[in-house]
Amino acid sequence: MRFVTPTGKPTWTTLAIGLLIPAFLILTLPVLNIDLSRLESFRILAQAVATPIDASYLPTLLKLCGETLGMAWVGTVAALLFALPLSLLAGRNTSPHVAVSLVAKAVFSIVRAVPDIVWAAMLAGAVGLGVLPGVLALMVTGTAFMVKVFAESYEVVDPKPIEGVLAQGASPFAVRTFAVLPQAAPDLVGLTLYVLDVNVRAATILGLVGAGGIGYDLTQAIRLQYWDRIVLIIAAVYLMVTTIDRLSDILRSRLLR
Amino acid sequence: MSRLAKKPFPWFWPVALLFLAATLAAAHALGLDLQSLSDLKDAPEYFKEFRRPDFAEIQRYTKLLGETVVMGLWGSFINLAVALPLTRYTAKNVSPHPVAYRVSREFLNLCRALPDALIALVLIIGLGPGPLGGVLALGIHSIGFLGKAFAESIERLPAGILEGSQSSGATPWQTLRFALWPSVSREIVGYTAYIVYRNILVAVTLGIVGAGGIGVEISKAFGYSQKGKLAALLIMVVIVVSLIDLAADVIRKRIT
Repeated sequence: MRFVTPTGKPTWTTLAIGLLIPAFLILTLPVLNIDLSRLESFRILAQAVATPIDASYLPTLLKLCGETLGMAWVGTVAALLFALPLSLLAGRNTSPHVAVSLVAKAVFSIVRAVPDIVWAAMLAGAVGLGVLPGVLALMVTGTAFMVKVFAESYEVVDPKPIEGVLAQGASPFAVRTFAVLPQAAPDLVGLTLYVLDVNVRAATILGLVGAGGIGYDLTQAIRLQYWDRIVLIIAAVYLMVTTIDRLSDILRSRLLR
Repeated sequence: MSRLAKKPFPWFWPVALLFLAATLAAAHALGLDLQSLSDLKDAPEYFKEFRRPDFAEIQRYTKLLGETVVMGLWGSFINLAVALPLTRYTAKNVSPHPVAYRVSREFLNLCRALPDALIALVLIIGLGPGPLGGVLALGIHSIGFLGKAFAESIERLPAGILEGSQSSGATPWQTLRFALWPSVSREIVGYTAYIVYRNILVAVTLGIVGAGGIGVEISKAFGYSQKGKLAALLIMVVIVVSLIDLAADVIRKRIT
């Protein structure tokens, strides 16, 4: 796909995209139902920020933040344990058979197409409210994502070490352990950290459907218009997410140097 | 021989064991144990009721699903419109000043920090339920991912590409047009394809928190425990989202 000719003139692709995007935006504008008069109600939010904080809520907040982080961590590690063997089935060059690889990829792309909060709501219905459906939902969506991206990173490893290990008369298992996984390892670490990042954000919301974490208190606070609490919870989520983000950035740059 | 004998990951087992111990401790603190896992045995009973999807209102569902897709596309457009021009400041090697670089990078971090569903929840307080809150939430959140990815792909460019064009007397605009854009356009299209897919998937979630589209209907079906409707809605979501996922993959593989 080319967007400009070597002399700098736009190609037909560019022109078509340039026309289609504005046309789409104009045609779909009514769907958004923009009504500027409603902006008035944002004044409530401004007032909320000015409300003094409620110190008696802080211990509960701390406990719920811990629960949220714990859910994300356990969900991610459980996903990693499932995804490592399953992704070996899905990678074209690591799978025992092409058919197995195709089936595994198809199954997990269906799992991935269902949002985490829907998994959480279904699992909450299936196993009861609480932390368990939340962790399971993060595990399911995390596994589905990891299987896809891990398989992709096996598929782009350098084939020479594989040939080298094969030439020693190694078993298929040894080829994966000594030729494919070590080459893909830095990628796998980076991707796992990305999943942890995503899961921390997701875990803050799952409480909305009764699947544990801080989300339940947040939605209750919004429903009952406890402004001071809403502000506190948002600040806590912001702190949590940023801390994990920075930590995983540092870890990634250390490990992948 | 000595190089071969050296283990590639000397710390693998200690780190892995520490990792597992931390996980078990966290699971224990959450109250997850073998006892709670026994709740899983009730799950098949629950999922059995999904076997008969009820497509009676398929026309309405299609319209709502269209709304969800539109939300995702509008969100992606806002992401691009902000993230793309901002690379002038967020990529270290083309940024005019270290302060501009730091400030713009912090802006990206700020956008990324709050989960999209949480931004939507807050916006809906002000804007009322409907697609607009969702579009703005998507528009804000993914600026962070996209902006960071764009900046990093420009930073990976070899310095010679920029120097070559500057030493030939090119204006900043010409450098951007003839040196930078041809080198990074593939990556930019690839990341954008991923974000479009992600935004449409997340738009379903945003509906569940009240921001319009098919998620609203999914949330209602959960509320009234209408499993047939729920099954039908989820089948439609899975078909559309997987197709977009596939299309995004094809685009990414064809251009890279």
